[in-house]
Amino acid sequence: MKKFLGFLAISLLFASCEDKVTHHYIQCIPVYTDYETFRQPATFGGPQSISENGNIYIKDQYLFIVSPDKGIHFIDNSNPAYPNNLGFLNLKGCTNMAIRGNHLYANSFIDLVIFDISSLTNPVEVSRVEDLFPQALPVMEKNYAVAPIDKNLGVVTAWEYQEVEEDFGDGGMINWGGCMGCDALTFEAASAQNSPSTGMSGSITRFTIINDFLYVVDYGVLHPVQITNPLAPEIFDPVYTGRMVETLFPHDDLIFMGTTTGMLIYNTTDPSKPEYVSSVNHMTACDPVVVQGNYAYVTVRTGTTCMGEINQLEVIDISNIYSPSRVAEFKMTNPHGLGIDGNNLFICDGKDGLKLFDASNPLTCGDNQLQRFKNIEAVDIIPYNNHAIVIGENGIWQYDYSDPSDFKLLSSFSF
Amino acid sequence: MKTGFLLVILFAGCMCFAQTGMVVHLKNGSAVRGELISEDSTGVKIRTRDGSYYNYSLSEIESIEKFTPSISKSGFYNKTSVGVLGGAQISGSLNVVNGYAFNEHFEAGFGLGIESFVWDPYIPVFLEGRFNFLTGRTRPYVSATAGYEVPLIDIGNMLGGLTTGAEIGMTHYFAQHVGISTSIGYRFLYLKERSWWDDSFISREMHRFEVRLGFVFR
Repeated sequence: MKKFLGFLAISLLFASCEDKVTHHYIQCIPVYTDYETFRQPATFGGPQSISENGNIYIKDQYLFIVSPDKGIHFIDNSNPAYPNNLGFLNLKGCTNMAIRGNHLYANSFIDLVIFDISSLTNPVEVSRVEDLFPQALPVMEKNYAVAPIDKNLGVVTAWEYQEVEEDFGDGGMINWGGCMGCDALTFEAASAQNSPSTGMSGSITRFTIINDFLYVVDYGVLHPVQITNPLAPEIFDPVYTGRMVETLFPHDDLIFMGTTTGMLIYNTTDPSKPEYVSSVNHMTACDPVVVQGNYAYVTVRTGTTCMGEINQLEVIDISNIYSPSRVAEFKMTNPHGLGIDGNNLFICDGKDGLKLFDASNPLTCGDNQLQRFKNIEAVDIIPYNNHAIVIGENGIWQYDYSDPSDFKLLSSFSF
Repeated sequence: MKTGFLLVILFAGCMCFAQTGMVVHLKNGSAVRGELISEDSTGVKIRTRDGSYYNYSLSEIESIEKFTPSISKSGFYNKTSVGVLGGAQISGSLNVVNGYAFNEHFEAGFGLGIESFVWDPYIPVFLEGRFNFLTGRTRPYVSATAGYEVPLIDIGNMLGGLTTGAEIGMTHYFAQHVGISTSIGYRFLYLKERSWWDDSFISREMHRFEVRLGFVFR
């Protein structure tokens, strides 16, 4: 009897014993730079090797390539066959940029920094808007959790990665400190827009300029900045979109926003206070957008921070901007940036390469593939005046597509 | 009540399938197996399986004993069992072990099955070693298992993990090739599943007691 009482006791002991549930994860530990050091004027140095992809931007005959979190490469692209690396602007925390006239606007973690680039070999920091992007954080290697941040210690300018084991039980959660979508803050650019005084970025940029206003999106917040006087930019109240905005694309006086859950249209009738016009929703994913005529082209993809299960090109009729409608969908592999120039629609389809489609009929464009460069893991593209600049995971390529059936490689550079 | 239930489970193999067959050993060296119809001071009457009746006087009989099937000392065996795993959660288990008996004491086998933990199904793939204390029809034993729980759904996110355990139990052979086995034991599991975040996973250390009932074929 004693034995069975013992067995019964052991059974009850197991029954009362909860499973040990442990979360094993990598946590980003913030590395701080004090504010005074952080805000020392950015310096311009000699050319540096381009070793990673980032936001690309063209202005006149110049090409700018953002090295995420490090700075901007200045390249004289007068002869695309022989681009000339002019130098490197050391700007910590830079992931996006835009140019209007002789001034370059770029983010530096939490600040907006403005440079006079009258001399491209001697850009000078002329003003700085402090704390415009309070949520900005350094790029992280992957989608990791973030340890609590104490802003009193300075600006978070880097991460240290630490393996963490914590027992939470089934209901526990990792301490997520933020930075969902940090990689989208990181780079990307290239779409069409611009007056002659502004440049042109890729399709995944978070900076865009419409007339005298620079618009910068920081997660779901759109910041209107009047840059009539670049030396004294005027900051207006932020516009809260309520969505995770990843890309901006200007079209006339409209701002098209690619968000993780759809495309938003805002007007800039009052440029200091953009107003919501309409939207087209989709499943959670990443989606840059470009616009030409009455159609918007959106690539929807899944990825590291882009949840969901869809990878496709969507064509949206925006002839009535108050009631945009999705009119066509085409399956893609893992589309990133895109660009359109006339009837030429370029899709950077991840590992499936760079693809060119005939968009003369937008409703069937995805079925009319003209070219595919499968050796290029393309991320973003600027197609302009029959000249395409493509940035990929491992290099930069420039093409002459004046004859879409006969692309001419002008130059290429591997990281 | 609970103790009573466990008693029934533990000794079910002993209580069920009790033998009624007898064997009459004769002095001439032969033996007759059947149902003992009568026994008195003069002799016995026995009915064999084919329905024949035989009478033997006491002078012819060497001994009378209950029939004990002879169980092969070595060879392949199969054990199929169902069980209940208890602890923080209660779940079911079905295992099939195919193995080899090296002798009457030592057996080793390879097992597969299906089990459930935290509402997710797994296929246990494991090795089992067993030691029988006795060699008769009823064999108390101890066994140990070690293996891997392979997730059956959401493969990629569910990573499975290690399983190991030990049992004490009893096998009762009610026929030459068939027996029933009951056991109680302990299982430890270390299962992993991916989390939402990159390079992160959740591990579960689980302790379970188990009660099993199965059939053995050898």
